[in-house]
Amino acid sequence: MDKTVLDVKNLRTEFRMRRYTVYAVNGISYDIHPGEIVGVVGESGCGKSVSQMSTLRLVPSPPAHIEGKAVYEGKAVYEGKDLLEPSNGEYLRSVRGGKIAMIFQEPMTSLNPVMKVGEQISEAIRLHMKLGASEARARTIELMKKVRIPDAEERYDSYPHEFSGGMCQRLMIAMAMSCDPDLLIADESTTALDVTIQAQILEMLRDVVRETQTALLIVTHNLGIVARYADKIYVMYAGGIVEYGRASDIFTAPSHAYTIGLLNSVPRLDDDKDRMLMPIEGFPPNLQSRPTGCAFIARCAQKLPECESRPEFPLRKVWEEHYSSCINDRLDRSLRKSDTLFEAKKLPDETLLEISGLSKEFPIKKGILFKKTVGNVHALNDVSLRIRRGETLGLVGESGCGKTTLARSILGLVSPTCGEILYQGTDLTKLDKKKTREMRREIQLIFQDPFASLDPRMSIGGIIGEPLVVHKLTSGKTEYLKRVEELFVMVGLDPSLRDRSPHELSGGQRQRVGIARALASEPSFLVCDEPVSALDVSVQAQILNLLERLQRELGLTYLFIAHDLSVVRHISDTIAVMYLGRIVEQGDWKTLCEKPVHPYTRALLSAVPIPDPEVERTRNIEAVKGDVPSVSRLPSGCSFHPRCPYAEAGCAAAVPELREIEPGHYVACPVAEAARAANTASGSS
Amino acid sequence: MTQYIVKKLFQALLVLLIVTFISYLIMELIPGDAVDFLLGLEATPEKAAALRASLNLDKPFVVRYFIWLGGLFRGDMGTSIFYNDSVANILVKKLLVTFRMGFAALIISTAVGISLGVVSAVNRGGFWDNLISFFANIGISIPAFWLGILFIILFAVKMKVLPVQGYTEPSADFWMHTRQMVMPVIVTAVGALSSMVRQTRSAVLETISQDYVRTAREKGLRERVILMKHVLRNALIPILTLLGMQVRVLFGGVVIVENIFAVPGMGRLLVNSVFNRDITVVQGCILIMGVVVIIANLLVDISYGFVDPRIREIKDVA
Repeated sequence: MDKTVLDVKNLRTEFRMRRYTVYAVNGISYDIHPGEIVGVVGESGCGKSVSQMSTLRLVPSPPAHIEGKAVYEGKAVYEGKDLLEPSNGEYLRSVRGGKIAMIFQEPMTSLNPVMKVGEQISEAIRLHMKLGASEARARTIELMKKVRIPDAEERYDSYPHEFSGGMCQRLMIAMAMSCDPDLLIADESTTALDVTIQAQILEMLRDVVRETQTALLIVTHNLGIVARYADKIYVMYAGGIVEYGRASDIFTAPSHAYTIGLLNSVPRLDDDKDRMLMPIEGFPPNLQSRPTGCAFIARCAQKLPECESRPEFPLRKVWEEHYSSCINDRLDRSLRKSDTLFEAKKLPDETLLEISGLSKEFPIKKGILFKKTVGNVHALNDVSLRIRRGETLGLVGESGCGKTTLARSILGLVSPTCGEILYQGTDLTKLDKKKTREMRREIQLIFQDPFASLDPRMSIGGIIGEPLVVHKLTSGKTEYLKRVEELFVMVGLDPSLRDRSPHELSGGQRQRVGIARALASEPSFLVCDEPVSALDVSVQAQILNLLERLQRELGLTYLFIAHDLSVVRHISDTIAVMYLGRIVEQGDWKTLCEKPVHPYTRALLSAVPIPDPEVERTRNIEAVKGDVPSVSRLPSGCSFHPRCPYAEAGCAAAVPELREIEPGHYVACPVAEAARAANTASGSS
Repeated sequence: MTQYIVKKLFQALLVLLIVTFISYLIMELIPGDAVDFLLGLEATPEKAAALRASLNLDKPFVVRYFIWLGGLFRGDMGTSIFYNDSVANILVKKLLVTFRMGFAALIISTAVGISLGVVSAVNRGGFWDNLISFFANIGISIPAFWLGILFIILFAVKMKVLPVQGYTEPSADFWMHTRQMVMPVIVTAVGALSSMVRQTRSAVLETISQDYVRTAREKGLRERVILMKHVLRNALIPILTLLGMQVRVLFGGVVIVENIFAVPGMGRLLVNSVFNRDITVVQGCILIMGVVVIIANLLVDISYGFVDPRIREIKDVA
């Protein structure tokens, strides 16, 4: 294994802006061997993507300034050339796309919208392999088949907008594989995709790479993905590599305080429910000055006295092929159990919110002058739910499954086509405007995007205090200020931030502002729509812990909507799984996660990677085929049947009803139910 | 697509009706009518009344508008009171002059504007960008009439390289025609050219930072190929939108420029006819301008579909 494909030495990337310089990558060295799968993990802004793009000189320069060496050796050539040497420009272009190919994060925007997809792939083939138009076309179609694009011949002449996100990412992979590269760099290439699609894509990538002995470098923030696929892992923080080693060593014996922090802050599907998430407090440095000493020191919970004074933290060997820059060799790796959090939670059997038969259709309109309704988008289809006081109901599902429409219906932001939403006995769908406004005191929303959901021109104090003014909840200036300060403290924000604007705050701080604003009117029910999906894992843990603490202190009830099953599992008492506007399975978290019945729930669970290579090795991945169909063209019968591995002839005929198979556990799949019954029968006999 | 064009044409018809009605109304509101100008000092109340009756000017304004409109549907644009000739005849001659000038200005402003815009964007922040952006900003803020007078003083009066003003048919003396047209065409084009430079620059810059351009670069394509194949076509949509608007702006500019350089085109005809209260000619000019602007925008709309497949699809549905 001494042959390397790419050998990067002391890579530095600085963005020299007019007023300041961002030290994005600070002297990192790494190498990749043929056929190896390498993972580069870290939070946003740690320089993981910039370093990859720097080696191919894909960062705009100026302002970027790149130093160091990136020697490409390839599989066959023994005399490598430095890609970063300015005089090797021509050589670099022949390597880009030809020998080293990249797959980017946003598949939909990474393809040229006005060019046929086949052309976009064959363009690189013609350039690097010097093939003629018809040969390049034939090779393109072959590649499109290889990445499992249905009807490849016909789809050659399609445009990117005619493909789904998952399909676009397959096309990007076909493009990247088109010239038999030696190294494939997947830069967060599945982050924008749904979990089942993510699993499909990654499985395919691994198969392709294994088959062709191509090296694969996966850049991601998702620890589960590297645990599932990587052989070797580099952990980056603040523009530097803080630890690297074999995947199994990194996960079983993490040797940097940051790696440990990262592992302890993510909820896992196989966690004990009472495990406490241990967030890394504080925020990563902004890198506008060159980091000296240990970059993690400000957030480190396990620093030693000598950490403060040491000027340099070079990577040192801690084990065979395992290096870390942390000097603490007695790191505490244990996970903590929460003491009071879950055992104390006893739910009264008092219904707070009850939804029954809720449906929402959005009409599709066509016509020259007079619009006619030509079809309906069935966003919600006969949804029924019951949420008890003090409970957290987790709602999971992939994009387009109707989670957000359900949240909006509860808040009265969309009016449902039929069905009722009873909140403490009052039907929310029948309230007039004035009553709806009053009801919003009781029911509040926490938004997904903490960047877009705060008015950039208002002060933080103003944003948090606005509900107090709107609902006339305080009398007099002193009471108002006192209450605002109280809210700041409640969500763990420094009240001195009161006069700042949202753009001065980090993502985690902004999400705290969003929570404080929601709490201002003292609601008893909070709808949290993907409240942590835009945040880094270490900050995500902070917010999840905050939500749990607030629930305990204020007796709140949550509807927690998310696509990340491990997060939902961590926070929820009851979980409902949605697919294309219907609830397909519902039950308490334990039953649902440990004994799922519906094939879709099982697929979802197995698609979520667990950040532990040992566990991953023994897991059986139940990959589902195909894409999520469009809600405007729902499949007949059970919507999941075209993708379902257990589908039978009857599945396309009738919509399965949601039936209670044991107390509190509802499933809408007669096939799985029958199989389960047969299993239990044979098990007991 | 056909459905879409039919819909657009239907809307255009409505717009034309409204525009011509408003221009009729404005002409009505200006004090004095054609009879006052025709009779001049010889006017007696009886003569004036008789002439008004013969010209239908004694009927209420709305009735006259509909008489004019009715004529239009029979292919009759009316007769000019002042020239005593059919409006269609008068317009055809003048239109050719204006079209030639406007078309030349459009071609120049588009071709030069897009090229300079691309050069500017590619060298963002560099010497050429600064130079081009500087002149583009000046070009946008200079009023055409002032620039026209400046040109006359500089090129015709001081340097004596070009004729001051006037117009010769190209069939009579092509060289003279070309020399006379240089200044009016450039003066008309400057504003349009400058806005084209700025629009192209920002469109190309916007496109260059897109993910798919990064993909193209990652493929190992040369910068020139990336620019021509991936960037320009995507940047074309905002450029086309501006092009549609330029047609209207150029028409507005032509009215002024023709008067400065004494070019006997439609702009001059329109101004003179307003002074003469020659309402049928004014209506004819407005109608033609409206039709040209509408056709130009329709062409732009259709060409969107050719440039961007996503728009093609939306139009097929709508």
